[in-house]
Amino acid sequence: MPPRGDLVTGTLDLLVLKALQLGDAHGWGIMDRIRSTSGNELQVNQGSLYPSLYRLKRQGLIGSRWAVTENNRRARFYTLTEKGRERLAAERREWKRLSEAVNRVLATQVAS
Amino acid sequence: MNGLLRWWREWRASREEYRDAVEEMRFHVEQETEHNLRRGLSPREAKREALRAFGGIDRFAEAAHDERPGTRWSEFRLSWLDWKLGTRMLAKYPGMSIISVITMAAAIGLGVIWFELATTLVDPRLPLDEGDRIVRIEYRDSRTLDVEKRTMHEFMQWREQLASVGEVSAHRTVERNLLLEVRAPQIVRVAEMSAAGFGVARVPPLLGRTLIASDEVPGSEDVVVIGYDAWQRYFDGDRTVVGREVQLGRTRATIVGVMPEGYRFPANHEFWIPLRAAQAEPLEGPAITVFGRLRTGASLESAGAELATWGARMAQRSPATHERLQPRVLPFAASGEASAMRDALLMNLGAWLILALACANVAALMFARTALRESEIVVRNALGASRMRVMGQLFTEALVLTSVSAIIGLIGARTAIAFALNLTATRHTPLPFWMDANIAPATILYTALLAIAAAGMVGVLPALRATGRHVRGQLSQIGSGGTSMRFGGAWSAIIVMQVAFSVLCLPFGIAAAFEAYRETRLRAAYPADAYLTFSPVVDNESAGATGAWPVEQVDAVMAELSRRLLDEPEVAGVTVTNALPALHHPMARIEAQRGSETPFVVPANTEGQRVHVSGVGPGFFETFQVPIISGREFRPADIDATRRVVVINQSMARNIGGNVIGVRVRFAAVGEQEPGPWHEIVGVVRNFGLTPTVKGEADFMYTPLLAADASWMVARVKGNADTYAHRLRTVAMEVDPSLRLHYVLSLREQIQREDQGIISMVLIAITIIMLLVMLSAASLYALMSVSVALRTREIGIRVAIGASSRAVLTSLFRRVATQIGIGVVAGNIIVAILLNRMLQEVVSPATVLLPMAAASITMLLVGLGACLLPARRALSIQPTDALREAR
Repeated sequence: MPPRGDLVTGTLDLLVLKALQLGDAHGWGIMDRIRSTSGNELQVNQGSLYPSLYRLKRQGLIGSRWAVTENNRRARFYTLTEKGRERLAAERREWKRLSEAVNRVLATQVAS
Repeated sequence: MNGLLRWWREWRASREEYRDAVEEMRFHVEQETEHNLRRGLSPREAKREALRAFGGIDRFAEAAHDERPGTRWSEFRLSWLDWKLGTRMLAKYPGMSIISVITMAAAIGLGVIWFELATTLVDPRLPLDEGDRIVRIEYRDSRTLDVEKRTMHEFMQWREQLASVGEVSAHRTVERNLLLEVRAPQIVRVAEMSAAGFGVARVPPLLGRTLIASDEVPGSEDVVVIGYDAWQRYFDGDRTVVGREVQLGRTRATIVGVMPEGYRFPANHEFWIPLRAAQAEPLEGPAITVFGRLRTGASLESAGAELATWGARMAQRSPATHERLQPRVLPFAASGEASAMRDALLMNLGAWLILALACANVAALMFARTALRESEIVVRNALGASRMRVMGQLFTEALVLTSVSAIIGLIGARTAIAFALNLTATRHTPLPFWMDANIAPATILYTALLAIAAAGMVGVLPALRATGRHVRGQLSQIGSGGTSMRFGGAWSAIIVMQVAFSVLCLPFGIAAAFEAYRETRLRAAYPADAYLTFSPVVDNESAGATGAWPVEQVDAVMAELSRRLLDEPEVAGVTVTNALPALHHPMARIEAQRGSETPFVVPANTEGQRVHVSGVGPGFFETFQVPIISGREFRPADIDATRRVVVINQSMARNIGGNVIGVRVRFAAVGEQEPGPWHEIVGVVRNFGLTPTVKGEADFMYTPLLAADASWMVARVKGNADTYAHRLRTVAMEVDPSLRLHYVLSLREQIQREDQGIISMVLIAITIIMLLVMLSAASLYALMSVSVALRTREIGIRVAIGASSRAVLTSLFRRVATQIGIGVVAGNIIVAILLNRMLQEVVSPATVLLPMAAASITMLLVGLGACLLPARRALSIQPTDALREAR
């Protein structure tokens, strides 16, 4: 059983947008993409995923359409919109800035 | 129309969105199941794990279905899904739902009964042609506000002079013995009414004719019109009944007509005889009710104005009699009392208060339920549902609950009203024809409003709290099992109050039931079968007279009846009294004085040191076989009002102390009233033993009574009293055909009737108390379990940092026990104060103590039981999970 890592608060929207940058996907597909690309480190709380999707859609950052999957099942697919792409880029920059700051703190050597 | 179309489109769109959301989430769970299968789980486990991880499709689909932006108020809408969810919520928490529905139904039912009663009293509808134009004219004393009914003098003038009211009529109700060859005499209510009264009602007869003006002429033939039910009951629906003669008391009257079914105007009558109005001096003659119909073009106001002018003229002309009398016009059936409206309103205020109390309790339950569903509310909020939208949903859910309660309340109220009307009609006087058990449309509307108001209180208050600012940013905590809604000091106070209330109510309910049981058992043991009781009435039956006979004449009839009964071989004794043994007696404080010592209030055993007082005729104690302990029984000469003597019972003698014969007693002063005259105690009788109090048998004082003033005559029968009842009626008819015997019942039956009343009252009280206690226990359970549930995270952390499970449980139970303990102590203190101050004389402390302890322990167990399950759940949380969630 891999360790279950909860998402840091506020990062779910960023991860959803990133997952959709890799290509259109349905809800479960997005969750699976985050899970597998993080090496099973990040577990999306499924109860939070759909609220996030509806929220992003309402903000116009993603769009949706009904389509048929490879298994011939009807599913709602989500697509990244142009506005979503811009937001993703901005969020990435913000994340980079934040993580670098955290890394700098962690890399500080204890003075001997 | 456009609005309707838009609503329809929105409704369709919201349904489609809901279906889409469900389909999408089902797909999600299927995919996750397949994923779990690939991980090596069994198909069953794979599905279960997927569903668990998701947390319920419907919950999120419903949350997602129609969250669209809109204006603030437009978002407070009631959608069909909310109704569906509300119904599901009822089924999901059956215990909570049943308790809430029963409580609300009882409170709403009470409101319905009071509203129906109030509207019937204040604004009754007459089911007659243009019934709202039938009016009553009466005189009211402007100072005492009493209605002056001796208005024969005015009636004669109004009949001739009034321009705005036509067909002015008058009636009075009299009772007569209906004597038929084949049946025992029946007492019937007869309307002595002007012929024009039939014109006012505008109902034609079924057979023959109604009364006509010539019937009113003194000396004309005595005639009677009968009602449909009387025609069926006494004449078997004989169509040739018109023309037959019947004996009504001392009068032989010819039946001239039969009225159709349902006709009982002016109130509840089945026989009508002409009112032979004779000229009378002002404020003389019989008490009558004057009525008529507003003429075309006239209104209640114009008629009132005309009467006011007439009244002013009369007051000027005869100031001695009419200065303070004001004539007024009212709708025929309206209650004339100025206080009726206020009383009706006050009664409704009472109903609202009870409803508010019920709502407060149910709101506590709803709050607990809402707290358990916080994650769903947070999701809705995150999906864009505004506060108003979520409040709309919770309001609708509450409305489902209150609507179900309202329907049950309505059905219950109708059943209760029908039962009460039936009981009144069979036991006492039949009610006016315009009162029935059917619920008026206005009452149904009122019930709907009550349901909405209750839903407002029950749903919106918890909703306000649940949708407060704190819900924002709570998404990450969904599924942690905890809740962020806080039960602050107010909720602790509610818990304390709930417990105190239960501890307070339960003991008195149980004690009252126990006392009632003891009293009924005591009375059941009394040989009451041997006594036949009845209430004899005799009066002057001459038409138009005031009705009352001189006391001597009535007394002569009673003495004759008594003598004739004593001659009967089955009768062992006859007496008269104002109050039957074991039944209700008037009570008063009595002062005693020995010689020239200072008078003192007799320290009677009953509450407020009051003594039961009853007037009794000579031979009373002998008839009831109660031995004289000292002194003597009443003699016929004692009835002379100038010889003031009394007989008392053992209890009262003991409370006065010493030798009581010759001691003087009198009624103590009440308020501004002077004390009564002194009476001398001439005898002491043994206690009947039928009226126990906390301190022993109650104190009784008997005064001599004239048969003409007596309410009851009692015959002791050798054998069974019931079998002698028929013979008694025959004897009475032989004495005087106008002698009416009411309530011919054995003393056993009288006692049983009274006991039934007491038992019903106790049962109703116990039911209400049990309901409140049950509700209180349920609220306590809900509040406790939720308040523990919301501390799960804290408990987890404490275990994580090294606290032992036992220490955690101890701290948890300590807090709960403190809250309940405060409640128990508060309740017990109030009980103790009440017992000490007020109730000591009503209930003995011994009967209250055991139920008090039982109530205290029950509430403690309920409270602790409520913590067990959430506490176990809290302890099973992994410390690491608790720590992670606490970030």
